[in-house]
Amino acid sequence: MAIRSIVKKISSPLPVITVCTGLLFALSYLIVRSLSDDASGELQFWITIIGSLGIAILVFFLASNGYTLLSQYRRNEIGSILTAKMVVIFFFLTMIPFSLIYFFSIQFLNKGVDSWFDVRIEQTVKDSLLLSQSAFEGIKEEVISDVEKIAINIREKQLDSTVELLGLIRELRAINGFTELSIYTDDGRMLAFSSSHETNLLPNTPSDEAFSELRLNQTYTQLEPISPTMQQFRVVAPIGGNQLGRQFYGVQAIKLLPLRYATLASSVETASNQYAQMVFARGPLKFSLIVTLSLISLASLLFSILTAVYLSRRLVAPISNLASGTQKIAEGNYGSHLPVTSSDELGILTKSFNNMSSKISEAQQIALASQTETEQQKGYLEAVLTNLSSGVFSFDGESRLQICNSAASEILGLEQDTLLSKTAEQLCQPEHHAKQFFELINAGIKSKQNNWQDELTLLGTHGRQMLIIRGTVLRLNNDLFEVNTQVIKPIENYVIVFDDVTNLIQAQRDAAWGEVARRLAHEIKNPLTPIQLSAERIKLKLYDHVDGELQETLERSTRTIVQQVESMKEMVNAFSSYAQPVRAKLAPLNINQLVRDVVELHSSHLHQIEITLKLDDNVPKIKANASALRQVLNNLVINASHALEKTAQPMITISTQMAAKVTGEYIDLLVEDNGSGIPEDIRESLFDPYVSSKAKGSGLGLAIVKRIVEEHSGSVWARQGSNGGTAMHLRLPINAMKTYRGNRRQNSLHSIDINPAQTTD
Amino acid sequence: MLTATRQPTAMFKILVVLLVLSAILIHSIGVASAQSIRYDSRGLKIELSDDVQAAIDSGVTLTFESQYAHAKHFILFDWHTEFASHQFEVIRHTLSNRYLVYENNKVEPRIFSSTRETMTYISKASLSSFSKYIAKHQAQQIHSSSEHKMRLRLSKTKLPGPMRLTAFIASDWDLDSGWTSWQSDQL
Repeated sequence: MAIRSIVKKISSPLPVITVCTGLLFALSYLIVRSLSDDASGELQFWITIIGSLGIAILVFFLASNGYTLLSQYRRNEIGSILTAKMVVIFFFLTMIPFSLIYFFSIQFLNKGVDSWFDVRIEQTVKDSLLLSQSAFEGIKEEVISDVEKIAINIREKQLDSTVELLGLIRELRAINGFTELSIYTDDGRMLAFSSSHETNLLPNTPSDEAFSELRLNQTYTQLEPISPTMQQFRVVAPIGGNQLGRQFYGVQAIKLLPLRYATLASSVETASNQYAQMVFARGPLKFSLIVTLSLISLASLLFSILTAVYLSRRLVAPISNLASGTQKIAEGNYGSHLPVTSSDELGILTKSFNNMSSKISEAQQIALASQTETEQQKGYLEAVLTNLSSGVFSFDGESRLQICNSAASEILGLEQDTLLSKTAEQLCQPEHHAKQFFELINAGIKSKQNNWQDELTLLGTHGRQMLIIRGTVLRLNNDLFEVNTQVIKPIENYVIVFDDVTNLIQAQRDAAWGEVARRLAHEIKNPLTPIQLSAERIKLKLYDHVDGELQETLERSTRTIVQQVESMKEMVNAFSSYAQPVRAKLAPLNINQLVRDVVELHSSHLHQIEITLKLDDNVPKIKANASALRQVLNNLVINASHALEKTAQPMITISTQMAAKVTGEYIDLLVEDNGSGIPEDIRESLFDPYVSSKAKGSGLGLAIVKRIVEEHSGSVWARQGSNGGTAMHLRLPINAMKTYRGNRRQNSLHSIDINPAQTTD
Repeated sequence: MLTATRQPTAMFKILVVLLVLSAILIHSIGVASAQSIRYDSRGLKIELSDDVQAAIDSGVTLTFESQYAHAKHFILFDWHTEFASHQFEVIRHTLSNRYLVYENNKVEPRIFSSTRETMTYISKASLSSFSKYIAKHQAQQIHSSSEHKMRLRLSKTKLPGPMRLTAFIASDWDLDSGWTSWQSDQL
């Protein structure tokens, strides 16, 4: 990571621009100095090395940036494609003119260098050199002639002493204008020496080459430069004489060229050398210039491409930020703010984006708050609807059921899932017990009435149900308005509220019957005893005073009166019993034992009936009034026995069990026979007073059963038995609530007084 | 993702290796011996390539440098501390068709009729100076712990400007004996 961060830092624009600038300056200096001989070669060498390294670094920067861009492109990072496109465009925009300039620069450079060398100039330089050499040849011939004459002169003179020899050469040197004149033996030793410069103590000794020439008896001649502007002729000529006892081998004469000659010759020499050097260096010069030009061009090109990369990134960065911000908003991350780095159009665009993002964020927060509030209201509404005892339906504008509370589901005995999202038409289609109900709703919706109400009697799963249904149109948009030239109609929803008033009506009916019974007991029972006593008194007073047919009539009439009065008393007592509320003294009761006791009681006179007990021993004790429930069981057994009078094999089955599909807080008591069953005409009013299929029945037995059961917060209903007879179904709570008065939603009752584990036998 | 993180590091390492190699190359330019100047039993032998011969015949001034140093071995390299040097400028005199040698910028040149004689003189003069320095140092016990070395080479940096780049690149211009420690009996 550290290396990456270092690479990232050194790849940033500032170091690159610094390197590029330094590099371009160095290479420019190099190309200028390449043409000059005066420049320091060391500096040129190091500038070349630094330039090459700089280009290598630029290549590295470019490769690093290119690789990063390629990686971003492969990862589909935002902005990478645009950056790559801009870099390619910049590259081509740079490359095309660059290539042209480079090509023509090379051409101009070649032709420019070649133009420096002219054939005429070259010939002139050569001619000058030849002229100089010709001039020197003339001088040389003169000098050689003089030296050879000196050699002859020395050989021919008979010198007796060294002093004479010295005097001779001094004289000859002075006469001929030589700088130095010296005589050497055959073994190379100097015999005499004379110099124009008296400070010179030693002669300028000839070279081995000169002696070699001497040994061949030839004259040696050499033009020698002694300084940049001075030249001399060195001539060594053989003497061949033997004087003073030694072999005179040769004489050397050195003569300075005249200054004018020397200067001109030096100038020609220098010019000739420089031209020859330029001719020789033409190839290397071209190569050097082309290499330097190529380095500068390459550095410029790399710099341009790197600049293109950085510029592209800089230009694309705000756009990438915008794209990234837009993507965040698309992902639901509102409120993201982008850095505003410029004041140009992109900066304005970024500011606008930030404003938009802020507003979206605020709107989203408002929407969220509104949604939360709506959900709270919806939750509140659902809670209200759930706790309503009334059934509530809500249909949308397309008559599709949107809301169905639990009370509606329970009243109709239908699952919510089977109703929701269906139209009123679809709800009418399946054949079920509530079809009539939904047809009524469908008709109400279609009627478009703002408010409507109706009553309906259904045969539900719990028997007959009386429903009161109210419908209301719910208009969400009261006014018409236009959106994009389209008229938006108000949305019409429908709310249906219905109540199961069966229990209410039944209670009202029971109350009415109770009042009737109470009045009968009060108004009729009181006069019966005086009537009976009066009839018996009449019989007692008159029986002995009449005889014959009259006496028989009296006897029959008074007996009839007494019997009818007794009969009316029984009837009144029955009504009284019905009207009198059960004084429920609730105590733990073993219902199985109660069943056994009642069956035992009736076993003597119902011996012709087969009574079967299916008692669940796990049934716990319940809180109940034992005498009241005994009466209930008595009535049910007696009714069953009456229903079995014409049955060939009469059977009564009494069973107890825990209530199925409930929480275990209820028990079921079932009294079933295989008799003739319940007549159709009284099935709906079976538990009403004075409803009986028997000729002599009071019609109060089942009414009393129902009343007692409901006093125990239970319920009772009749259905067709499995053997074709009647099955009376009692559902009693384990822990009855005395104050409870009939309610079909028994399952919502709770008992906390009795622990089932403790009450189980 | 992993390749994305690995690659730049690898590139950086490659760059570092290249830089190190470049440094070594640069260093080697200064110390490497192209062995165009060799030693044999008769002394140093300078072999001029055709290019160099053509250059000197075309009037290009060649500068030979003899450097004298004492060397100490440190890790992988010998570090040379130069204590003396001599320069021999060789130039052809066109009018006389002679080769002039200006020694240590002296005004009066030495004159030779051929490049062979010229190079022989330069090698002998270099070795002679080296011998004198060793004798002097041994007498004065200077740098007695280090090894004395000599190097004779053609200075490319003192060539005419247009020719330097070619001389840097072309091996024909590599006239260099390298740093060599001569035995006294060889001298």
